[in-house]
Amino acid sequence: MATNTDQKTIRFKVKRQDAPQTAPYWQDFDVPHPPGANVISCLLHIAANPVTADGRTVAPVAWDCNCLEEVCGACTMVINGRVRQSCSALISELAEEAAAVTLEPMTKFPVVRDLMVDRSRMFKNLIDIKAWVPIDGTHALGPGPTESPANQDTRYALSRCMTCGCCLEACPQFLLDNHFIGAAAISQARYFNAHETGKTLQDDRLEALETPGGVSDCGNAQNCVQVCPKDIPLTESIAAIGRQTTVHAIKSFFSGK
Amino acid sequence: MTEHTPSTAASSGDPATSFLQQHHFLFRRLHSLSGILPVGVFVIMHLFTNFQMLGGDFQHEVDFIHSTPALLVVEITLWLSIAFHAGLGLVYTFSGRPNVRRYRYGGNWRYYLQRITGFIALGFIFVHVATLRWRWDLFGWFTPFYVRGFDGQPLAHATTAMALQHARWVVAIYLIGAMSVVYHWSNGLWTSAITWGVTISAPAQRRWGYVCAALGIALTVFSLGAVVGALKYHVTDEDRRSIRMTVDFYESGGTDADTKPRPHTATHGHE
Amino acid sequence: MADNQPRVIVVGGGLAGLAASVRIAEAGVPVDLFSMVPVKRSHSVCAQGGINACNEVARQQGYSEWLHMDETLYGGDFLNHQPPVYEMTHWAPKVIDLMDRMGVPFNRTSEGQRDLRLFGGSLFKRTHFAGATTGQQLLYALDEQTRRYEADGKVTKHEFWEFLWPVLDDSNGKKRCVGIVAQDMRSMQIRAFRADAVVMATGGCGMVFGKSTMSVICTGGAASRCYQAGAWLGNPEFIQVHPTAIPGEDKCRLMSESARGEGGRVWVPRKKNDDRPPNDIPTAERWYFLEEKYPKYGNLVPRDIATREIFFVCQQGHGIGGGRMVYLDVTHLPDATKHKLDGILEIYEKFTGDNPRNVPMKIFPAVHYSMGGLYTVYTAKEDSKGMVQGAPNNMMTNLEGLYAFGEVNYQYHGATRLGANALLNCIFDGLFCGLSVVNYVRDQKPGARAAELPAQPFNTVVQQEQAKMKRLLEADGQYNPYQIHAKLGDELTDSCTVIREENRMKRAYEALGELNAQYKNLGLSDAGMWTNQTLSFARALGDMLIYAEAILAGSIARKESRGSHYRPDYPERDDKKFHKTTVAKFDAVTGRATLEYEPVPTPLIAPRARTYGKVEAEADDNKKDKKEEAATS
Repeated sequence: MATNTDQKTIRFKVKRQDAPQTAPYWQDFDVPHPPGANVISCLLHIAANPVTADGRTVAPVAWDCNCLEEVCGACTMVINGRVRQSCSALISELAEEAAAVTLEPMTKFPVVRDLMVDRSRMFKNLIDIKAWVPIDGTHALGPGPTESPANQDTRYALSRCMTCGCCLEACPQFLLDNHFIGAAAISQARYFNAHETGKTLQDDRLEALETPGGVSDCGNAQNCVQVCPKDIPLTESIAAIGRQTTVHAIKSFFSGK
Repeated sequence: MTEHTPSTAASSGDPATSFLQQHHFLFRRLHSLSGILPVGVFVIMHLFTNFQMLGGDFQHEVDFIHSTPALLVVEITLWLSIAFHAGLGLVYTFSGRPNVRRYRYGGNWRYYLQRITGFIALGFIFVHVATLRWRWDLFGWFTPFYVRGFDGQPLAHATTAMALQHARWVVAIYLIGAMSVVYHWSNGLWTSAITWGVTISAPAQRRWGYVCAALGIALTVFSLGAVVGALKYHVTDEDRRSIRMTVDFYESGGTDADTKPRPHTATHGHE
Repeated sequence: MADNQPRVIVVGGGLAGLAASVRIAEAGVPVDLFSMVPVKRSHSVCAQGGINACNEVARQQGYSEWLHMDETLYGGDFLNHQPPVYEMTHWAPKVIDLMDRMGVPFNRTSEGQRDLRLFGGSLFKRTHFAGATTGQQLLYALDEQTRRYEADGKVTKHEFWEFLWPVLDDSNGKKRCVGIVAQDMRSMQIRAFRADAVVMATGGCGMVFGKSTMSVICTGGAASRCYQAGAWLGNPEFIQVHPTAIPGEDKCRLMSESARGEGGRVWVPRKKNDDRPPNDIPTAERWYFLEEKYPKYGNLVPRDIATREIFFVCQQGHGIGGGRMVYLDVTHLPDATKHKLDGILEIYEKFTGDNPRNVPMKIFPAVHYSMGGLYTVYTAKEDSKGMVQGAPNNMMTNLEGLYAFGEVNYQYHGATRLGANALLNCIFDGLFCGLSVVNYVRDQKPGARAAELPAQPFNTVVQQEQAKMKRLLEADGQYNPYQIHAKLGDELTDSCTVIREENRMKRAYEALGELNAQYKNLGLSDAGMWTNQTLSFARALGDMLIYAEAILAGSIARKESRGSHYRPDYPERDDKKFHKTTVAKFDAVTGRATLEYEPVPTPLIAPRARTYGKVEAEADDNKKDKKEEAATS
């Protein structure tokens, strides 16, 4: 129950963990929240006053954040049971959902400490799908290929992926201990395959996505697109890569090495 | 030392990867294909045929199916497809962990139901085939199916009706089982369009969703019609006698070769 | 031995750091890239509006690289050095081409060419953009190229590592940077890394002001540590306050200049304390004060000017509801134009709950960018038109082997940065000066390479940093670092942003002394040795206090108004006394800056009055301009 003794105070229930190998535990904090407060400003308040609801002084809660305007992707956590960016989680809205704000680290990545997790798997996945345009170096070699506004619009929507991990946290097929590559990287493969020069590596990307843990491990639950904070059409990307892999597989069956 | 980097399978070059993993993509696609085509086409035909119990000429349809020249080949193909689809399906199902409690989105429920209905359908198909086709006596649930009696007496409708009228729970099992099969197939048809990359844009996925839903509803109507048709059939004493004699005939070592010729094959167009 | 081959350390993984890493790795020199966050989360992602470069469309309307340079110098109130600006603006089209080749989804015209938008301080469309998240797109493109080299083993990333101190070797009688000491922010291990050159690409210092548009890692801590180790600061007092931001509890969120570039208008109700909803106020009763005062540039005057005008309008009681907010209005724009701004409009909607497509946004200025930073040098061409490509000292600090690229580099922007020049400056530094770094390390003679040095200079710094950490962890004083930081932010924001009054600044300077005393009496709520974020913050706070002192000292000493530095007691620009770079040198004994002034040469463009055609000033300027013309001709 929220404490109503203090005006504009909300109860935070935080799932904490001191180190990767230690057991998690819960702590409650009562945090005053002026209008416009969000989860980050409340966590900052806890950092400055790390006292639990029952009056114990504890170590401040550790969490990841950087830009605080939902473009860096750092501050993902599970808030009131749902994965999202904590910077754009306004207390005024959360207070309508429940009496308390529950903060948990993402469950699909190893916990580093408290609300911080290790998402290096996501960045490694980007290497696996060769998420880059293979340019001939940085010297002045003229402009890039021209592009239709429609193609740019499609690519732009995909290019806003900030590797935050929401899509993977909500995905029932992406687990802490399996190999599924997940929506983010699949969508990036589509992004690069849609670029004139990026296409050169399309076969490599598709072959990577045809291995175990690749695109076919998607179970079409489509949670990814629901939780993506940037509204990236992830399920369209999965379908597009589905088509590309289908065509690629048939082509290589008939004309591959 | 603190870096936790689980290698994605996409890059794992483990030489000991199993045959299944080496051909992962192919198996995944075959899994999808086996669900839609052989199993799916059969399910449609089967449900449509059964629907004939409601006012149609069910016996005629069944006779027609049983007159298929290489019925055994068709049946074996079907069995292999179901076994393949079910076997891989089980493996794939356990590679995920449903989370509908946290993420109550429609798509997530469909994902969850797809797996649940897969299990139910598998169990149902087994019971269905074991009791009717293989004529097993499952815990006193002995409801064998005969197209015709040993004496050529048409029994398709009567035996089906006997089976469903056996007990209320049999009807329940048939309703749940048939619904599961129908859901599993039509939802599978919808997701397969994404998997294969047939429907890409969200509107296309939505449109195809309507088509699949319509198919699902049609199949549901067929199955309901079949159940109603089986329940409405009045099993006569003659039917009972014929069935008992047929059971005795087979139990005493009779084979299909000893039965009388099927009128359908002999005189096509008996109307 | 392979281990003896030269290596380079790049600190910071934003645009400048990544561009440098790519360029250096491409030249075959291995790079160790350090960042406190995964590089893809660097502050460059926050840049929204675009990146400037002369382009064919603008060129055929009379624009040129030369004009781009002129705008940059005019915008910077002529405090910028001209050869680097010349070089940067002339390289700009190549930078755009390169980013285009990397696959940045620049907005396109119907023919498939790169689209352009108008931006502050220019009358020509010369800003290339990708929606309203250009910085994000550019950073990602460089992140991708870096990943490519990472996959090849040419770039080694050290993410979640914090730069603590540069390692200097003076065995040859001259201080030379030969590596860094850094800390793993997870395991808290402190260790030294050797390198033949170190590139600082650590961005700005917005956190010194408490709330700003900057990311939480932008403490200026790294620059401050170099400064304390002997690197100089250039123009630390020049801090840009962006006119349009959403004030927030935890930070001020940027509302890009592109909103105005695409036609957005700034206004307040003409009637004071008008409490009608904005859409109920008819056009005639709205005061479009920027358009009125600056008919030529309108809403696209440089940032310092727009900021001051907004500030004054609010001071006069014209702010929304009499408060400190004005309207930024894009409601009248066509849907296709709004679509180009989706990136920022979404941010506004998410954080305020209002849909800016239908309701004017409420905005107020916020600290945004540091023009000042580490002092650097360069080799100019003989005719001063640009820098000598590959000259080993381009953008090197006064410490040999220590470079500063991007926002932490004081070059290019003078007293105010024009919108959409920052992204250019960062990438240009990395690409153009990356080559200088390569040439510098290749010039190091075998035997003098960092890998071959004795362990002593490295161990000394490691011990120094371990002792510092121990001191902080064991401190059991009464002051909480987060609370000291809040006070520091309040003091600096109040005294040293839009309006800089001498008395107020002096009071802030005194307060700084108190905060320093409190800092010595710190108590940390976390003494653990695993992912101790409090320790990292507390350490950076000490560095912020030192950097803040340099900002305040420089601001107090500069008795003139120039660009973003506005002194009501000295409202005019004073070229005679202050057309000079402030060079701040750290005095380790007093812990304060020693200020020196270095004249700014003007080989290409003579300084002129910076009015942007302001109506009330027009008459005077015409006279002045004519005088100047007469004097120069």
